[in-house]
Amino acid sequence: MSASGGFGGFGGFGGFGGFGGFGGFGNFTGLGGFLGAGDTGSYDPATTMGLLTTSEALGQLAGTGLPPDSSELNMNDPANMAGWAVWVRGSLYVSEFMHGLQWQIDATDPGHVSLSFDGVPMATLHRPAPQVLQDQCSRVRDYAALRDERGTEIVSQLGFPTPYFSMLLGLHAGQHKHTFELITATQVMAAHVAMVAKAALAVRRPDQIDGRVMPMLPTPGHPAFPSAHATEAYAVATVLDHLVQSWGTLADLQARRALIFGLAERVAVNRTVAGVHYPIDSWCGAALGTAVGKAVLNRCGQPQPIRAATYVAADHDFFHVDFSDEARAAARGLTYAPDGQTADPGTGFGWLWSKALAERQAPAS
Amino acid sequence: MDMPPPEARARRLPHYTGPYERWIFSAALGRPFAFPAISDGPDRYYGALTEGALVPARMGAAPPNALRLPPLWNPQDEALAAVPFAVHRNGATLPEVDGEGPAPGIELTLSGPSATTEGMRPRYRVSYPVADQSWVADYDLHHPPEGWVAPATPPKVIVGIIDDGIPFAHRAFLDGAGRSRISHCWLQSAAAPNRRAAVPFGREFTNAEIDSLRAQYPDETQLYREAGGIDAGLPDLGLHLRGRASHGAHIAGICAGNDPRVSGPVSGDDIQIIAVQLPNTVAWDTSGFGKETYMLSALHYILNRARQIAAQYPDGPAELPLIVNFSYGWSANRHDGGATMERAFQQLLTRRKAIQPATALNMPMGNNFEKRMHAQITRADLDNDRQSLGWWLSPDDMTSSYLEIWFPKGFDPRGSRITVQPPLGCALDEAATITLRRDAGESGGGDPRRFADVRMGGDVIGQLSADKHFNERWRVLLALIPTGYAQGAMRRAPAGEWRLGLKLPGLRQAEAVHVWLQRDDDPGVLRSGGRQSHLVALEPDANGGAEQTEDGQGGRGRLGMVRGFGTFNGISSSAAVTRVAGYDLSTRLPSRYSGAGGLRQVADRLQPWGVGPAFAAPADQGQFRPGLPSIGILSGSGVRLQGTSAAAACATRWMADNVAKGRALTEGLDPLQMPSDPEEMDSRTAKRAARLGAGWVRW
Repeated sequence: MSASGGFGGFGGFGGFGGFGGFGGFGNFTGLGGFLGAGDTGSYDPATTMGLLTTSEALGQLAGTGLPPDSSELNMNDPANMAGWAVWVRGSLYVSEFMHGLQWQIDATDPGHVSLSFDGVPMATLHRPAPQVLQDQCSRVRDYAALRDERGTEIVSQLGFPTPYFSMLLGLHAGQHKHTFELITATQVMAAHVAMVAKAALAVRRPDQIDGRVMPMLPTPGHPAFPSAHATEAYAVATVLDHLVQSWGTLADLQARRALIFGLAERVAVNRTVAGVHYPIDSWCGAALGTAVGKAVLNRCGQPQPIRAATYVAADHDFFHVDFSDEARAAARGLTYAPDGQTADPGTGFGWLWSKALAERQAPAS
Repeated sequence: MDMPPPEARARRLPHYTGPYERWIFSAALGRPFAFPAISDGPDRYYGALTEGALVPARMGAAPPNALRLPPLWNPQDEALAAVPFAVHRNGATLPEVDGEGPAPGIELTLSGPSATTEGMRPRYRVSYPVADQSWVADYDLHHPPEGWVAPATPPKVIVGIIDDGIPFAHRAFLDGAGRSRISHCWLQSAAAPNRRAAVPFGREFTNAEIDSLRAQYPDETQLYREAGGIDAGLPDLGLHLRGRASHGAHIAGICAGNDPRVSGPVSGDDIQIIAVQLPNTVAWDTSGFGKETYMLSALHYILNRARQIAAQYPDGPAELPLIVNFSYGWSANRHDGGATMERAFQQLLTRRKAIQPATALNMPMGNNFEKRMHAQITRADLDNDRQSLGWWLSPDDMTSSYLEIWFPKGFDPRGSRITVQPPLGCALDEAATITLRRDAGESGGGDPRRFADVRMGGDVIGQLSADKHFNERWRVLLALIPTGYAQGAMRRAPAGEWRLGLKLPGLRQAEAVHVWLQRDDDPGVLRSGGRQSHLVALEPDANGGAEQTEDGQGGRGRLGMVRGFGTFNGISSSAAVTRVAGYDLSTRLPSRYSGAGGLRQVADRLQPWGVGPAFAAPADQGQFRPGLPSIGILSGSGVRLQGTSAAAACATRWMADNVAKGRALTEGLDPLQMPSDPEEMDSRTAKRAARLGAGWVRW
């Protein structure tokens, strides 16, 4: 998720000409990466005038009778999806996903926000105590030592870090355009959910607490906790992890899965290196993103139980090793309900999944 | 395990406060600008070092004082020229005396007959603190290192590596069966383990322990974190191994790693590795102050563990062939083998070579040839007994700057005087001048010495001192505080061209006075904010030139007073050390930065003085491919670094390969052609020899 409106940079990637990151927020369309993709707009004035004069010249050749009878498209048919502009599909994904999202802050106990999806509890996120933020600031300052070597990487990840996931899986624009679309859809959903949680919890950025942090990026215009980069990266990792297993075509599957989560961790930590996020933001984002990823998979028709996560931040550094081990995570404030529930499938996401699944590299059957 | 209480008839072992100790430990002088472990003091545990020959076992401490010896290599229990050790007082915070640090509060003793081989009464200096978390609670020198197993392939040679950021779990160090060839690795600044340990501070890792860590943690960053190799709470360890590259990774890779990035012969299963990771801030204080305890105990540790390995093979020699790579150095110092560390190196190497001739300590010549950090002044350079020299200090230098002037042995100090003037437009509160004689008030023993503060606008901004080092050679040290307001201090030294006036009536025809600057750059990861100063030739010298006119590649240019010849590593001048210069693989010319042996003009010839490089090894691939590639911290990562450190590492790999293949240590050197009669040596050849030594290591 982009930190600053209009920070695009991935224009021309795959079929989504004009990625635009969250530039879309400038127009409040909420389509993020989908904004404008496939939107025909208007012709230039000369062509428009040329078409007008040509249509007047040629119209008499088609006669003057009634319009012909024609067949109808099937109503609400997923098969129609392929014909819609990418941005239209993006709009449909957002609508299909967001109608399931609910959140609430308990008026009698306002220290946390609870999010649910189709009525299934996703996450309860507690607002970090001021002392924890204070302690975390020194960690953020320690991480500044890595800015020197990670600076380029960090700046290139201001928008969605899709090329980094692409690198791990050998994705190509011509061969994997629906996989890219699935990644983008997941990122956009995760960004929306993260913004809901951020706005509710309203946690100041590290540089707004400790003047010595001096981040290498502009201070983002949204609160710190949870990290949207972590939410998006873990949502994408969760979806891709399921996709590559469903593909079943990568011989080094376990290595790829480790790489996917290694990247999610690195993208999250890079924001701490940059000086814009506390390590606890990554913890919170990773937990939320994992739930979002599962929600996306449910919409894709892949029933994945969502186990409600509860995060009470304490002063810990963030590592995927700790996050992915439930006992270690629990010792650091992140716990899960013992059982989870699934959410509803959706037409649009179901179509997208079937297309992305078909992009497995295997001999034609 | 600390040393037992002293014998009844033990005498006091005095401490000594030299000019660097006084500067670093004085709040009004350089202390606010020292590395954090010192400036934040006081502490509970300190590293220390003896000078003057003594037998370590005869050292003692009067309770509650206690001293702790690290693993030493001293098979005959002989007297050592220097003994590294740690002191504390029952773990309590040691009170400090301004100007002297914690030393006055510590009472150490020495028993037995006094050894006089060094011609100096034994003494000790206190230096760098040991972090509380690194102090081993249950130290047992004789405890077998946990998790060590005898290497499956009996080693033919051992490679020792002393450096920073050692990636001890890197796959480049595995043998053919996937086991680590790193037999022992001591992280001196890691947190101590919760168990009995055979190192006094920090943490030791052994081969089987490394293998089991590798098996347990496929993610190497997690491995280092779990093993205590990464810890932001320990500034001397820090996040070094979290990064992409470290000096230590690069050097260790070239010394003994097998990786597609590293060229040279394969480092075989019969080559074992012993590594020591020094504290990060070893490179902070550009004076080199305080790290000797760590550095010398690192060398002892490698010798000690190499002997332990040899003991596993009863049919083998008592000591195995050993090549130690120590790619580190200081730029100032005596440069005559007489520094404490150099005496210790010389003694250890000589004694070990007597048992195992295939023993070497490889050190780089240094990277200062073109940095104008050395001047050589002879009688011919003087006008009316005087010469002057500029010292340019960069603005925004956030660390102290140091300039040393060394006078020859036997120098007649009468009438000699050094005067310091600040840059144009600045005025000192009183003239800063020092003469070479013992201060009338300095009666506490130790080397003859005197001090003068350099003051401006009521602030102390520097220290001018004269001391007769080991009562052998006079040294004048000028220390100045940072040129920027550093560490919250409300004083600074002005940047710009300072001037030194040297009045040297006693300088004889064949003698030379040398000026060396300490390295003062910022190693990046430390963010010390150091900036390098340099010397400026002001007056015409004996050759009529003021600037450095030498031709570093061995041309016929004349040598100016400020010259690169003589800029070699200031802790490498023991005769027994192998000094390695760097050369460019594509041209075979010396790397332009590679330090050089000293030269002096005798009649119409140039003659070498002191020690020079043993030989040159690759340091650069070519003009457009500077430096050499090697491994980064994580398996699969790589980095290119430039400097003679890499040349020393190449030499280490080459010598180890020679020994493993049954050849002599330096067999196969491509020799530099020298005239059989030294009288025939022309200036050009003399310059080439001072930069390349005996020839090129073939690569």
